[in-house]
Amino acid sequence: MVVVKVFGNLKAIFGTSELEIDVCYEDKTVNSVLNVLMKQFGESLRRELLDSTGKIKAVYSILVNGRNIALMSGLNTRLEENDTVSILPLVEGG
Amino acid sequence: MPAAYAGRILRVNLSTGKVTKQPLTNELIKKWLGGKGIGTWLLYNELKPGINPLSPENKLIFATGPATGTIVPHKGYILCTKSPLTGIYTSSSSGGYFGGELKRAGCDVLIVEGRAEKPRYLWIDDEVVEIKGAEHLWGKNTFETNAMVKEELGDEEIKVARIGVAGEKLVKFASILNDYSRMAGRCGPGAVMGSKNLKAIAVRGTGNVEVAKADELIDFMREFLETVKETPSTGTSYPMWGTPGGVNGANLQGVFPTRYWHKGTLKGFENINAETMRKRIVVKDKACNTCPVNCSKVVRVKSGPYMGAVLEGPDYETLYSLGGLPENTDLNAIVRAQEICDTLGFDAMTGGNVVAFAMDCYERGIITSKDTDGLELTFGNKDALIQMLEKVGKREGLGDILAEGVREAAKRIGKGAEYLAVHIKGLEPAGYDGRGLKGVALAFAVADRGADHLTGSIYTYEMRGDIDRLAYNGKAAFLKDCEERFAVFDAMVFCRFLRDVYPWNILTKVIPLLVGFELNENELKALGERIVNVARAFNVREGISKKDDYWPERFFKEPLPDGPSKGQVIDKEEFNKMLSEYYKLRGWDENGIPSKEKLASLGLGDIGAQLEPYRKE
Repeated sequence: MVVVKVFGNLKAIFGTSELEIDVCYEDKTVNSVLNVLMKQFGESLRRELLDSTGKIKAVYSILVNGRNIALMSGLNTRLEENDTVSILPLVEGG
Repeated sequence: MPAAYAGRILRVNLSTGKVTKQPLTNELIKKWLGGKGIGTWLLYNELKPGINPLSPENKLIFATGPATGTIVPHKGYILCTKSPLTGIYTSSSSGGYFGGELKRAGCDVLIVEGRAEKPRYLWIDDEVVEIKGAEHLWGKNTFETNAMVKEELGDEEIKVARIGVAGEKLVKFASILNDYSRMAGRCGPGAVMGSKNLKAIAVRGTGNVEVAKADELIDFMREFLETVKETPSTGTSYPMWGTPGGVNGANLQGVFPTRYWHKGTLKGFENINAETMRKRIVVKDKACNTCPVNCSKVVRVKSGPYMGAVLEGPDYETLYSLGGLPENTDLNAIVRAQEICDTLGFDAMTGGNVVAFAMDCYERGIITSKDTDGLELTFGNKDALIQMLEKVGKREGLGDILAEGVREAAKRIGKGAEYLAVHIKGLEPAGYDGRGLKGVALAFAVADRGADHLTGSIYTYEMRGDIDRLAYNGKAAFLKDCEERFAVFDAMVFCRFLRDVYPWNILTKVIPLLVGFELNENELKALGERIVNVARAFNVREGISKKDDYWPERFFKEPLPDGPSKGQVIDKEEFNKMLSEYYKLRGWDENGIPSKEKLASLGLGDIGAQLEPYRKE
């Protein structure tokens, strides 16, 4: 089980800010979590999250347990049981 | 005279009433460009070391930049002075239209010096400059003052920089507001203005600001605006979420200062994040001058006990200082709290810090209800937060001590309060915990005005994952480049939030279109270095050295207790390595003093000699 937390416009698409997802143990990566989410939330999620080439839009960040996946293995970052994946608008601050 | 400048320094001595107009020389422009460059140089040369910041010897230098008043997006002006909060150099930038109006009135730089015997305000009506009586304005808040000055001068369109009651009462972190509520907010320039008995500066400028290559600049801007739109930060994040967009990321990475810097995540942060703000209270998006970004959010509380509170904000920094630090997750209460700070005229970042510090002292029994006039100053008590902020702005009761800033307040309170107090060089930090952001740990430690986020602005790159926030290696060199580029931003008076669209190669393109002379990348970097070094030299003369380039001891000892940065401290050994590397890259000695050789290579040989007494054998 992996916890997914979403922010920004994604919350309206998900209808909630947090959900739990089961992915098979052999393929427990951020990418496999996204695939499950795409199946569940379909076109509206695809439009919001992905650009025309199918990549995550640059306006979004993905964190695993507070670490940015850009600094780990990107979408191939492996997940452990009970990890938290957060998808949020790019963090800029003031 | 290069284009984009009015060509003049306006000097007003409030002690003598003398008004002088001096030429802004080509030499000054070529070496310092404008804004923070010219302001810092003038401040260094015109202030004697060791003066009391609240004495007539201190000066307020309002410096516009070459972009001010043009179609190129800009902030307005940079204010340089000696801070009454920290006792060292400070510069503070402000958006809005005041800076542009000043330049259109024929003034690139305004220097206010001396002290008026009675309350006064300054009226700059193009060429005519008058010092007028302000007894009737004394005691008025910032918004009343703005309205009264405009009414008295019969022109709704004039721009008024002014102080509130906090500035009059010399609250050490009082701010100067211009336009509705843009401000030179940090480090207490409003107290300096109050010490001079100067309530306001009203400006009407009807002239034009010419640029060197108008047609080419328009072509540049067409392309530039497209880039702004396509860039994630300026095209989507800031327009949609503003700076409050940072609340989620800071909490999810465990670096959102909470419970007066004892924790890094605020339980219930979703109640005060950008999404909740937009859904519940945002009534309008707003931008400065010609900026297309609309990062500012105008809000109104629509129901409940704080109904009717109106604000341009809150922004990330006040959500941290009035939300995270006092553990207040009531968005409406944050709006009301910031409204008090803006109305009385003081920095809400330091304001939130001093009250949360007092809450920490109260919870530990260091102060009691006898000290707080009966207020139960516990974390999470939002009404106590609001009431104590009001006492700070008016210097009433405990507020009188807190109005000195956290360093001095801790000294006066004693009983272990000094260990709790969080500041670097006397300035309370911006809202990023250095334990979970190692570049921030270095940047805040060496910033020229104390624990400041804007001097180096490395926080963005760490928060959004451009660089590894937990790595120590490589941060010194990264920070040095940031500091130099942002010093050039401040010389131009550009806004930090355009950081992604003004890399060095775009800066070298746009500057000549404005001023008419070329500055290549190396020359711009040297300008940035000169500014960093003169600000440091100013501080060295005030006694600053390596010993002051540290976070409080508890950040090295006490790990973050929870959240995604749980267990993180600033490792002393790693920090010292970063600091040494930074000094080395800067050409500063082991004690953090700029070397003679470095200063000479930057054309600042005289300063090298002046710093000689401060160098250790």
